[in-house]
Amino acid sequence: MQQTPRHLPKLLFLSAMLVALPSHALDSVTLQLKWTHAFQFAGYYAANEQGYYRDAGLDVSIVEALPGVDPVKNVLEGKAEFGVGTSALLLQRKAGQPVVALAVIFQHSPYVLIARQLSATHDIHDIIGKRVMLEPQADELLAYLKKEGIPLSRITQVEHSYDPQDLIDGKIEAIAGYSTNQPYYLDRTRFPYQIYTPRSAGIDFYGDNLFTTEQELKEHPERVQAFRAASLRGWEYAVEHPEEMADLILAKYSQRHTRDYFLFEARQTIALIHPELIEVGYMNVSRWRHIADTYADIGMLPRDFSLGGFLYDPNPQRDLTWFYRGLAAALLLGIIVVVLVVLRKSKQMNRKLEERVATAQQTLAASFDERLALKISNAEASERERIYHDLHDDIGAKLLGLAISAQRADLPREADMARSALQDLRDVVSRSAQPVTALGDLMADWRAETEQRVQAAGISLEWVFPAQEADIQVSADAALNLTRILREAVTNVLHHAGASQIKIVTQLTPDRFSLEVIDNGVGCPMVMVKLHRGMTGMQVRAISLGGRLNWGAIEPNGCKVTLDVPLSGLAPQTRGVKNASIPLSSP
Amino acid sequence: MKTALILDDVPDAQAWLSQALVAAFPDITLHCVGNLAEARVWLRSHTAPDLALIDLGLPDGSGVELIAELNRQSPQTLCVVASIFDDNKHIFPALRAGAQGYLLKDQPQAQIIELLKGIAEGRPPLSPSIARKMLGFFLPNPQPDHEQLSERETEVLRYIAKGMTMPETAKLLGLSPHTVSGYVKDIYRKLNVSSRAEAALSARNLGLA
Repeated sequence: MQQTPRHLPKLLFLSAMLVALPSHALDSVTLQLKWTHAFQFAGYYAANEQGYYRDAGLDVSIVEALPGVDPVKNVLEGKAEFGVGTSALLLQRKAGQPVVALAVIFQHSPYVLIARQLSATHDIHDIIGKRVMLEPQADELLAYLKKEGIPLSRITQVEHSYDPQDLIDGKIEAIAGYSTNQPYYLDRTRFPYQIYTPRSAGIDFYGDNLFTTEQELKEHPERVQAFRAASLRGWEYAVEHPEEMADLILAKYSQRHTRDYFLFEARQTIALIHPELIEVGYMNVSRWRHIADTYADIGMLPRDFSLGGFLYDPNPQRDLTWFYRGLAAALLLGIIVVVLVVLRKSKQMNRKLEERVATAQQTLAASFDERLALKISNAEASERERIYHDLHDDIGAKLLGLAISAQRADLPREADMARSALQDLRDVVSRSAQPVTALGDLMADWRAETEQRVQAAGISLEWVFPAQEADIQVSADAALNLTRILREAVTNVLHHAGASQIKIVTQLTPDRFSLEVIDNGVGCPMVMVKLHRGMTGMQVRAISLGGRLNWGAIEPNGCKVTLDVPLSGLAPQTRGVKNASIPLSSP
Repeated sequence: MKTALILDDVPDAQAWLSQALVAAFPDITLHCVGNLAEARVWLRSHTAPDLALIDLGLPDGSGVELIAELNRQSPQTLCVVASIFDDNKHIFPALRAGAQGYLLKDQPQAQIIELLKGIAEGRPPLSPSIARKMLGFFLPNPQPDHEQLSERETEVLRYIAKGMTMPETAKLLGLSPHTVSGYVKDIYRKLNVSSRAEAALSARNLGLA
C-alpha cells in the first residue's frame, strides 16, 4: 500500500510511453464487427493482444455493431477500413457497392432455424402455419425454405427480438439464429429444440468473413495485405487458445455473457472454422459460385453473376516477362529447381497433413463425449433415427424378401407374418416419432391396416367406432402397445380361427377404453390361449397399460378377445415409466 | 399404360413389381433400374414412360428426386411410390414432388394390382394418416390467394382421416365413389409443389414476379 504512491508516477510515465510511442509510428485503422463482442471475433482480439497488428505496423480499433447498425455501410462510408461480413456481401456487390472479400473465417454458416419440437419427425415442414422470427436479411434461410417447398406465405413472420426466451415462452415456434450461441441458453433451460440447417438441403454458405472496399485495396494494397495476414495469425492463435480468449473477452471487451457462454461459443465456432483441416482464411471460387447460384435460385442475384474483382487474391500473379526470359535462359536449371522445390514442399505438406489428421482425430474423439453431453436430447433423437435407418435398410429388406417369397410359394400365413413384422417396424418409426397421438387417429389407422389384412385373407370385416369423439391423447408407448395387441388378436383369428367374419368393436367411456375382437371361427382353443407367444405378449402389454385382457368362446361359435384399459393408462406420463423393453414379438 | 420404369435396388422387389405390373396392364413394356443414376441415364435416351414405380430409399439418394425431375420434364408420366414405408415422413415429400399414388411393396400382389389399376384410372389411394397430414398442410393457415381445398375436398379428407373407407365416405356425403376419387385426385394435384398457383405465389413472395 505504501509503495503505490512512490511507483505511481513512474508507472504512469511508462504506460504513457508504451501508448504514445507506437501510435506515432503506427497506421490507425478500424475494424467494424458485424455484431456485439463475442468469441465470434476472437481472432481479431488475439491479433491485437498478441501484438500481431502492431508488428504489421497497424493500430487497430475494433468496433462492435449494436443492433440497428449496418456494418457494411460503415465500411463503405469509410468509417472503418475493414469489416466482418457474411455471404450476403455478394448482394452488396450486385447493388454496385464495391466490397471485396479478403478471407473466409467460418467455412460454414452458423445461420439456422431453431424450432421448438413440433413433432418428433423433425421435419422442416412442421413450421408451416407457425410463427417464425426471421430477420429481413435471412436470405440463406429463405433459400432453404424455398428448396424445401415452403412458401413464405405459409409461415407467420414475426419481427426478430433476438431473445431465445420468446421461443421458450411459446410466443413463437421457431427463430432464426446462430448455432454457435443460441443453443447455449436453450440447453441450459433444458428446453427441447430442433435445429434445421440449410446445409441439410444442400445450401452451404460461408459464415463470417473479412472484407474491405475496392478503394482501400487500390490505395493501400500493403496495408490490406498486412491487416489480413495479422488477422489470420490472430485467428490461428484464438482457435488454439479458446480459454485464454474467453478470459480476454471478459476482461477487455464484453461482460454481457459468462465465461461458460464464451467457451460454448468457442467450441461451436471452431467447429465451423475447421482449423484442423482447412487453413484459416481459405476461400475458393467454386464455393462462392455455389452461394451466388443459390442466390440466383431465389431471385436475389442474376444467373451467372460475375465474381470478378470480388475475391481478394493474397498471392497475385507476378509480372511474367522476367519469368519467361529467365525460363528461356535457363530452362534446364529452372526445371530442376522446380522439381526440387516441389519434392521438398510435398514432403512438408505430407508431414503437415499427417499432423493435421492426427490432431483432427484427437479433437474428434475428445469432442464426441462433450457433444453427447451437451445435446443429449438431440443426440438421442439422431441416434434413434440412425438405428431405425439401419433396421429399415437391413431387417426391412429381409422381411420384404420373406413376404415376397412366401407369397410366391403360396403361403399366405407366412406372408402375413412377415408383413405384420414389417408393420411392427413401421410402427416403431411412426409412433415413437410422435410423442402423442389422438385415440381417434389411432383407431383410424388400425381400421385401415386391419381392412387390408382381412381382405387379403378373404374375410369380411365389420368395424364399430365409438359413438363419441375420441380426441384423448395417447402416449407413444401406449399407442404401440394397443396397436400390437390388436394386430396379434387379428393374427390369431387369421391363422387359427378358420373364421369367415371378424367384428371389431371399440368403445369409450369417460374413464375407460375397450376393444373387442370377435370372430365366428372354431372358438378359443386352449393351445391358442395358453401356449401361443402372441397371446402372452398381448397380456404383458395389457398389464403394462394398467388394463385387462380377457378371452372366451361365444355362442354359437367363435371367440371374443376383450381388452379393457383405463384412460389414465394411455395418457402421456412421466418419461420412462412405461414399458419400452418388450421385444418385438412375432405372431 | 404402354411403358413403365421400375426403380428399385432390390432385385426381388423388381421382379415382384414387374409381375404385378404385367398382371395389371398385360401389354406393358417394362424396364428396371437399380439406382437414380441408372434411371437418369435411361431416361435421357428413352421416351419418358407412362408409369414409373419408384422406391424411396435408394443407394444414391431418395426416389423423391426422380419424382420431382419426372414431374418437371414429363408431367404425363404417372409416378407411383413403391416403398416399405407408408408414414408421412416418407410419403408426403413424394406427394409434394408430384407422386400420384403410393403402395407398400409387401402388400399382397392382388392388392398391388388393384391399386395400380386404380391409380391409372384416376383413383389414388389415401390412408387415414396421409389424409391427416394433408389436412394439417392445407388447413391451419388459409391464404386468400393460395390454392385452397374446396369444402367438399376438406370433408372427404376429414372422413378418410377418421378411418372411413372411400365407399363409406361417398355414402356419407351422398356422392358416387367416382366423384370422391376425383376429389382425392384434385387434392393430390393441389399438394404438388409445381401446381401453377403455388409456383406463381412463391415467385411473387420472392420478388420474382
